[in-house]
Order: sequence, then C-alpha cells, then structure tokens
Amino acid sequence: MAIRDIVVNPSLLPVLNLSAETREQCMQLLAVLDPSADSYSDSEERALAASKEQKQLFALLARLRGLNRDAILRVRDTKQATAEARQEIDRLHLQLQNLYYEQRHLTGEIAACESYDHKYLALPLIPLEEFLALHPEHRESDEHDLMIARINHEHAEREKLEQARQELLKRKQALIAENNKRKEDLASLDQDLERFIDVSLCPGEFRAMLLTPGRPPSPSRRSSKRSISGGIIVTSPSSKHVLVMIAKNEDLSSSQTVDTHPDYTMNVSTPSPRPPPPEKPEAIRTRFKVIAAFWAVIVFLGFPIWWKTTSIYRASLPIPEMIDWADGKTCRPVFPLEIRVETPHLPDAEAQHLLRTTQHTLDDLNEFSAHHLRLKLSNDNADEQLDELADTALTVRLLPQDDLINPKSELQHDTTRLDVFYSPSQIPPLSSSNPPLSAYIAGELQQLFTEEKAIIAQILSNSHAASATANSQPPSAMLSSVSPQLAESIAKRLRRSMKYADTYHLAFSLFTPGTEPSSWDIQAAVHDYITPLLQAFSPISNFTVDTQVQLYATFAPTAPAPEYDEGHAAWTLKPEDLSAFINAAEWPLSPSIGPGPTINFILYVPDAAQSPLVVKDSLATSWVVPQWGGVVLLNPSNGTQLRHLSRDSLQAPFLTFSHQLLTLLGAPSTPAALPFRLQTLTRIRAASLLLSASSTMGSLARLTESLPSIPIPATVAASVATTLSHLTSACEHLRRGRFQAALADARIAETEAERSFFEKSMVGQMYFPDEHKVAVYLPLLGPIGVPLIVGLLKEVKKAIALRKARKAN
Amino acid sequence: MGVDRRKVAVFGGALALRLLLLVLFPSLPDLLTGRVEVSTPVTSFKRLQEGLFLYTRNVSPYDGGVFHQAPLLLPIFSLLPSSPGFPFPTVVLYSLIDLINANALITIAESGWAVSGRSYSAIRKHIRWDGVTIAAWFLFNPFTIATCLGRSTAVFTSTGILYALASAVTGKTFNSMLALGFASYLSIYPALLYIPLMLLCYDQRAQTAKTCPSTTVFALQHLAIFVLSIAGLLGISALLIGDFQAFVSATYGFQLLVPDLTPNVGLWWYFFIEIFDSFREFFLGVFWLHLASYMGGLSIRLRRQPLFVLSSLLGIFAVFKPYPSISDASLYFALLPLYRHLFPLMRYTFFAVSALLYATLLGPAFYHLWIYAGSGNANFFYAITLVWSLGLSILLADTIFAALRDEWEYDNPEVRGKDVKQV
Repeated sequence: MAIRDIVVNPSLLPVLNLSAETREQCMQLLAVLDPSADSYSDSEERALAASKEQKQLFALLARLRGLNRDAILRVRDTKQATAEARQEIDRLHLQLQNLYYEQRHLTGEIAACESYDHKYLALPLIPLEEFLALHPEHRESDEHDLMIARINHEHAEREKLEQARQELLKRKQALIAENNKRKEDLASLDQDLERFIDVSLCPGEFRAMLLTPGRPPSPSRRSSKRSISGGIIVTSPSSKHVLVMIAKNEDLSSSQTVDTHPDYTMNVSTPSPRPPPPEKPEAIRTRFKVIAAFWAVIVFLGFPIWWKTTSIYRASLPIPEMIDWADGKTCRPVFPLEIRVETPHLPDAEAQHLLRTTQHTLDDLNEFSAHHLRLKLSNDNADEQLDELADTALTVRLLPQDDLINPKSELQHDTTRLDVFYSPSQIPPLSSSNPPLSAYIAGELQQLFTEEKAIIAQILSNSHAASATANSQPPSAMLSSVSPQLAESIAKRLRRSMKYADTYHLAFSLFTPGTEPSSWDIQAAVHDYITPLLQAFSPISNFTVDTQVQLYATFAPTAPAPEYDEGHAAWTLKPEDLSAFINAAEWPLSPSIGPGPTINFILYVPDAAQSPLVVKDSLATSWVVPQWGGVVLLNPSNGTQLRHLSRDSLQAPFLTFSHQLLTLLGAPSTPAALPFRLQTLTRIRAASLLLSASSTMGSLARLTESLPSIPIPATVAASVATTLSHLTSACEHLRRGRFQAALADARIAETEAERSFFEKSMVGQMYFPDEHKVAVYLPLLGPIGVPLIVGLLKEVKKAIALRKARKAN
Repeated sequence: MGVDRRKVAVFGGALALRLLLLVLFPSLPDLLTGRVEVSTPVTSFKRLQEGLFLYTRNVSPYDGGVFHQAPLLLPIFSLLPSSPGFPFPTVVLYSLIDLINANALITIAESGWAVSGRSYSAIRKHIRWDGVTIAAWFLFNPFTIATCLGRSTAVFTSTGILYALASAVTGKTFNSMLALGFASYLSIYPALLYIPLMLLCYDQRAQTAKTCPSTTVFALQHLAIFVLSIAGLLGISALLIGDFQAFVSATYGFQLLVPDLTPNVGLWWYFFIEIFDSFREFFLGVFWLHLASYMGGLSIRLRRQPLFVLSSLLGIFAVFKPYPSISDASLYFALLPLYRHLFPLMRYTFFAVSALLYATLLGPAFYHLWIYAGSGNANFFYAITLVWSLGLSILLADTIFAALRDEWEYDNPEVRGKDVKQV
C-alpha cells in the first residue's frame, strides 16, 4: 500500500511532498557522486556539483524536521482532546448506572408497599356477613368505612366482654374467700372433734357410746375427713355441720364453673393459675413450733456455749504495783554491809572511839549511798534477836604487834576476815579526831569493796537508765568516780559472764585428735576440784555436771592449723584464731542439756606430733570463751601419749576450769579470798535478780494493758502475787543486810516472774485480731444462721400483721 | 410358707456370701479393718483388739490411749478365739448380727408403720416392698458387707437402734427403751433418738390400747426406763473396769470432744484440724448442737410419722456425727426402702445416687493418692468426703420433701397429682 493512501490528513500532505523532494535530491546527489557515470569531466567539477546538491539537501532536511516537529505537537494535542472526551463519557456512564439502581430500588419499594400485610386485614373480627346482618345500614358504605365500622363494633364488644370477665373474676374471688372460710370452719370443727375425742372419750368408750342411743354421736375423726375429701355427707344429726359441708361442695363446683366460662372467640387472656390451698392454722402453728424448736436450741444451748467457750479469762493483776516495781519506786536496793570489828586487846572505850572515827572516815570516803559499810563491835549484838541478825560481810580483827611502824593488814584466804596489825603506840587517844589508824583501816576497807561497789553501781545504773528514779544520788555518779580502767574491766567481765540462770549445766569434755587418751579420772577430778566450788555456789545457783570423751576430734577444715615455732620449740595457735579452735560443726557440744544454759569445759589433748600446743606469744594453754565456757590444752609432760589421764594429771586443768567457772559466773576478780568473792557475788546476784524480776513485772503489766484480748490465766495472777511478795521480802532483807535470804527470795521472784511472762496460753492469742474472728465465725455459722434468721423474721412479721389485723377488727 | 422360704433363702445367701468372701479373700477383713471409711477411732476392730489384749492381761484397756469403745464389748469378745488366728468365729458373729438386724428390719417393715400411723396414712401405700425384699436390700448392700467384714463395732449400735424400732412398732415399749439405752451406751448419739422413739411408742400404744395414757406420764415413764437402762449398763461397766472416771473420759469424753482427728468420711476432722485452738471448744459446741437441733424440728413437723423422723435422723447422723463411717450410711440405707411409696415423689434421686457412687469410687483412690502415693494432699480426700456428705444430704432432703409432699396431699386431697414448686 502506498504511503499516500495511508496518510490522508491534509496537514501531513506537505510533509509527504517535502520528503519526496528530499528523496529526489538525495538521488541526485547520489548520481553526482556515482563514479561510474562520467557526466563530469573532472573531479573538481564533480565536487562542486556535489556540494551544491548537498546544500540543497540540507535545506530540505531542515524543512522536513520542522514539519516533523509540528506533526508531533499536533499528535499530542489530539491525544489530550481524546482523553478529555473519554472522561466525560465515563462520568455519564456512571450517572446512568446510578439511575438504574435507583429505579430498581424504587420498584422494590413499590412492590413491598403493594404486598404489605396490614393488621386490619387479619383482625379477628366477626365475619362480614354476620356484621352486615347485625348492622344493615352499612351495606351501602364503601370498604374503608365498612372496615372502620367493623373495628369500632369489635372494640365496643370486647370492652363489654372484659367488663363481664372482671365481674366474673370478682365473683370467683369472693367465692374462693367464702370457700376458705368454710374450710377453716371445717378444720376447726375437725379439731374440736379431735379434742372432743381425745379429752373426753377414748376410742373404746367412744365406740360404746356410738352404740348408745339417745346421746348425740359425733362423727369420728376419720369419717369427717372422708366427708371432706369425697364430698359425701355422712349421716350426722348436727345440721350445722351438714350445711357447711354442702356449702363447701357447692362452692367447689361453682368455682369450677367460673373457670370454665366461655372465652368468647378471642384470646382474652389465659386464666390465672389456681392459687394453692391456703395454709391451715394448724400448719402455721406447726411451722411456728419448728422454728421455735431450732431457736430454743440456739438460745438455751448455743449462746451459753458461745459465751462459755469464747470469753477470755483475765485474772486481775496489780498493775500499778507492778509498774511501780519496774520503775524502782517501791524498792530502792541498798547494801548496808556490816563489818564486825574484833578488838581483843583494846579496852571498850578506846575501841568505841576507834570505831567511831573509822566510821566517820569511811562515810567521808564513800560516794555511793546505796552501798555503805557499817562497823560494829563484835560483842555489840547481845540485844539483837538471832533471826534479825544481818550477814556479816567482813570481820576485822585488830591485833597488836610490837615492832611495826605502820599498820599492816592481811586478808585470810579461807574466811572473810581481815587481820590488821598495829603497834600499840598507834592506839588513838580519846581526844584525837582523825587518828592515822582509823584512816588506815577505812582506806583498807574502802579498797576491798571498790570493785563490788563499781559492779553494783553499774547494774543499778543499767536498770535505772531509762526510768527517772527518786534516788537522791544516781548510781551513775558513783560510776564516774571509778577509775576508767576498773570500769572497763568490770564491763568486760560482765560481758564475759553467763546470764544468770537458776540452773547451770556443766559439761566437761575430753577431746583428742587420735585414739588416746581414751579415759580420764573425771569423777574423782570433779569431786576434788569442782564440787567444793559448786557447794559454795549452791545458794546462788544449782548445777548439774555432764562429761564426755570424744576421740578423733579434728579441727574444722576452715580453722588455721597450728604453726611450729622454733624459738619456743612448740606448736602455736594465734590468739586471733582461738575463736575457730572449737569445731562447732562436728564436736558434739549440745547447746542445751536441759532448761538453763550449758557451760562447756573442753580439755584438749593434742596429738603427739603437734605437742606441745600453746597460744602464740603468751604461751598460755587455756582461755575463756565468753558466755560459753573454757578451753584447756593439756600437753603431755614427757611428750608421750597417755592412755589414761589420772587424777593428778587432771589437777592443773581442773584448777583452771574452776577459775574459769568463777569468771563465767561473774564473780569479781578481787580480792583473792574466795569466801569474800562469793559473798560479793551473792550481793551482786541479789541485786541483779531483784531488778530483772521487777522489770519483767513491768513488761508483763505493759503487755496486759496494751493487749486487751489476751487471756490471763489464774496461774499468771498467782505467779505475779508470789513474785511481788518475794520481791518485797527480798527488798526488806537487803535493807537489813541479810543478803543470803535476799538472794533466796530474789531467785524465787525471778523464776515466778519468768514463768508468768512466758505463759504459753497467753502467747497463743497475742496475734489474733478481731477481724480474724469474723473469718472464723462466718463460713460455718453464716450458712446455718441465714435460714434460721429469715424464718424468725418471717414469723415475727406475720405476728405483727396478725396483731394489726386484730386491732383493725 | 412361701414367704418363709424366701426369707431363708435371703438369709442363707447373705451368710454364704460373707463366708465365701472370707474364704476367697482371706486378707479382706484386715484390709477393710484398716480402711478409714469403715473403721473410725470409736468403732475400729483393731483398737478393740488392743483393748482386748490389755483387758485379758488385767491392765485397764484404756491405759494405752487407743481403745475408746464401751467396756461391755470386752467380755463378749474375750469369749471368742483370737481373731488373727481364727478369723472365722468373729466373722460368723458379725454375720449373725447382720442377720439379726435384717430380722428387725423385717419386723419393722411388716408392721406397716412406715406407710401409716395413728393419725396418718400414706396415699401411695400400695407401692411398697415386703419385709424380705427390704432385708435383702440391707443384707446385700456392699456397705453393709464391708462393715461386716471390717468388723466395725458400729454394727452393735445399729442392732440396738433397729431393735428399738422393731420393739416400738410391735408395742414392746419397754424393750424398745432398753435397746435404745444399749445403743446410747455404746455410742452416745442414739440418745438423741429418744424423743421421736418415745412418740412412736406413744402412737403405737394409743392406737392399740384401750385407754390413752397421759403424754407427760408416758414420756417420763419411758425416760426413766431409758435412763435406768443406761445407768445399769454403766454400773456393770464400772464393775468391770473399776476406774469409772477414766473409762467415761476415754469413751464418752473421747466421742464428745473429738480429740482424734484421723480422717474419716465425715466433716469434723478436717474442720478441727484447721480451726484455731482457741475456738475449738466453741465449734465443738456448735457442731454438736447442729447435730442435736434437727431432733426437735423434725419431731414437731413430722409428728404424724415418727418412724420417718427416726430414719431421717439416722441419715442426718450419718452425715454430721463426729466419727461417721459407711456403717452409719448403711443403716440409713437399710431404712430407706421402707419408704418405697415416697420414691415416685423424689426428684433428685439420680443426682444423689451418682454423687454417692462417685464418692464411693473416688474416695479410696484419693485417700491412696494422699497417704500412700504422696501425690495428693488432705484436700483431695476432704473434697470427696464433702461430695459424699452432699450426696447423702440431697437424698435426705429429697426424702423429707417427698414425705412432706405426701402429707400435704393427704391434707389437701384436691391437689393430688398437681405439680408443686418448693419455695
């Protein structure tokens, strides 16, 4: 197909022409350049012609390009126009579609409207023919009016029927009420009959009476029942009863006719369900009795049990008195120490004078009023009664010795006696006011009691630190005067010593890392070295003794092993490692044998390879473990192991043990005489027990006041009474200087106070708040209680209603 | 003689079954004796043997703190050869007691007191089983058989109660009170049956006698018989044991104060394990009063059916008494067939029966899980005992409802056959 047939657009024709021209020009140019055609003679001519042809071709090409550009622009314009036209068409198409939908919807609506089923078409009206027969005047009216008339007619008709129904209902109610009344009459008649039968006649007699003519025989209970149920009238002369029964039967039938009254043609309403037959009065009475029976159990048995079992018994305690004791208001412990002075070689007057001056000096020296020394001549007590005697703390014996310049004193080791030696020239003349001998004696005495005084002051100050006492001179004042070194050592010893207990258990244990020694003369050793001490302590505490031997007792793996010290040729333990010496995990050292603390004494016999074993630096072989016990290392003397430790070889360790025991029990370190130290300990213990029992009383008083819900058993009250009485007597004994008796009382007081404070039944309920009680009561009593209470409320309501009704009548 | 032949067959079959079980499974009695469902601390045969051992060696049987049963059982059992060596005589004795109980049941059933009383007669009285059927229900009840083979001493209490009922319905009121005294002597709770039993005796007397005795006099007379019978038994026991104080506190004190909280099928043990100690006495009172409080209410409400009151109270005891076991349930189940005429009126039979079966099957399993396997805890078993008690309570409530319904229909003849709703 030729290009001219395709391109018909006039605007493109010039392009075609021009392109044809260009083509021809190209041909010409080719012809010129063709070397085979020798139209030109020489090459120059040919070049000239060619360039000319070429220029013409370029011009033509330029024109063609312009036309091409035009064509492209026009195509672009045309495309745009086409797109716009298409958009327009789409929009119109959409509109058309919408219209179609609208049309369809409307058609559907129309169809729905046309097929709508109106209520009035289905109204349960009477048929048209009947209506027209009733109202012929509507025969002519159109359908619409006819329908309206019919509906109105129906409405009126139904109102009439409804009225009729209401009336019938009313009648029915009245009949039912009547019925019930009759029934009750009947029931009461029944009861009357029953009573009649029960009371006046017995079945046998009754039968006989029935047969007797002349008397009015009543229907028996059973037969009367039958007459009710079946509606059959028994032959009974009592016309009233017969009438009642007939009426009742009539009522029954009439009420049934009410029920089955024709319901007309429409669904007027379903007949209401038949009410249950009313309760008989006897049924009501029975129910009342049942509820009363349950409540009787609750009220007459339940409440007393509740009251009895849950009330908290609180014995009354003398609270103010107890608090007074705790505050130290009742008793101010004083320690009047009586010191007897024996002056076998002095005349009375001079002795008296010496005594007076010494007492003056002592009083001047003393700064602690609670603890004071009273001097007394030994032959001075004839007028005092024997049981009123105060304990003698110390006896001072003045002995003349000729060749002395200064007086000299010596404390006896086995008694509480201080011997003072003086030269006769030192006897003070009666006139002198401050003789040197008195000053010397006073100084010695003061010296002896310094430590005891300091300890007592410390105990008193500890207990009274919190409470402001009425003490004129606070004990702390005394403390300040004690030298700091002494105070330090006292505090240290108090820390070391065991807490006071009524009974201590002493446990002596022999530990050895190997197999030997495997036995020891422990019984003899204890008897010889410990028992005397324990007897001396018996007024203060009781003791039990246990012993054991443990072989293969190795050190704890974590404990540092002893090191060999060349200088001393001994194995040494570092002092700081001593606390790890006892292998608490493996050595069977029971912490408690019975009630009361255990004091452990360990005798450790080191292995031959590690002997002798000593503590580094000090080379000591024993030490005290504070508040726990003591340890003694027993190195075999000749380096060989002993199979058996004899009594003699145990002497040294057991003497150490006895010393350790003294320390652990809190005896003062000075002076050296044991009886003196024991006496001091007695006083110290009496004071501390007195204070501890008093403070326990105070704690108990505060506890009972702050927790009103804890029970206080009678035993606690008894214990408190015992404690208080013993405290009083202990205080009295102290005041009179009878320290042994005071200690005995204080011990009882302390034991009782502890018992009352740690009473088990008190602790149990300490943490039981009232909210918990609800949680305890509700889950069980709730389900039981609700029906009972509801039943009771119903009965009460009914009773109130009945009373009101009676009043209204 | 046809009826008698049936009776012989039933009794013989029951006896044979028990002996057969013993022969086939010689370890069965000991297994059952150890089950907590069968043996409670107050009825356990094992504890009885312990007491017997001490008794035959002239030591007070209560010294060990294990034996808590009435002392009169001891001379009876000391006559028998020792049970571990010769289990046969003991089982025969227990089987015979079961037969005696069944005989008492037949007497009760045939008196007809279950369906009609002095002033009441059930409407459906034609629906009933005869005595032999009821005895068969009792004798072939697995609970009864388990109790019999487990040799729980609760069967003696059951005998006392059943004989009290049987004597009451046949007019032997004196015997009735003696039997109740015996039952109360063995385990305290039957004493709570005194009032309904006295009413039953009174009704029986009033129906047959020529003269009606005064209610008060009658009650006091029988109370005196009852108290005297208990006092007599206690006196004999005191002669046997010597230390009256110790014996009373070990038996009645133990039953009243419930110190042993071994698990059982009842509700007390778990509660008293959990309760705070300070409330223990209070809740003991509450639980006992709860048990006792039903007596008055039921006796008043169902005055016209005293035998039914007795049966229901036995059911209540089986649920709420301190140491219940399946023997208590079996006693209740024995009396239940007397009320065949009430079955059509019951509504939750299926639920109750399935709950009971469920508890019966799962109870031992859960107990095993708790005690032996260690993979459960006490709550498992307690949950099952709750289900058991629930089943029994539903059954109880349902029968009482049925009885009330029956009474109501009797009073209101016009409502017969109508549906009712409980409000």
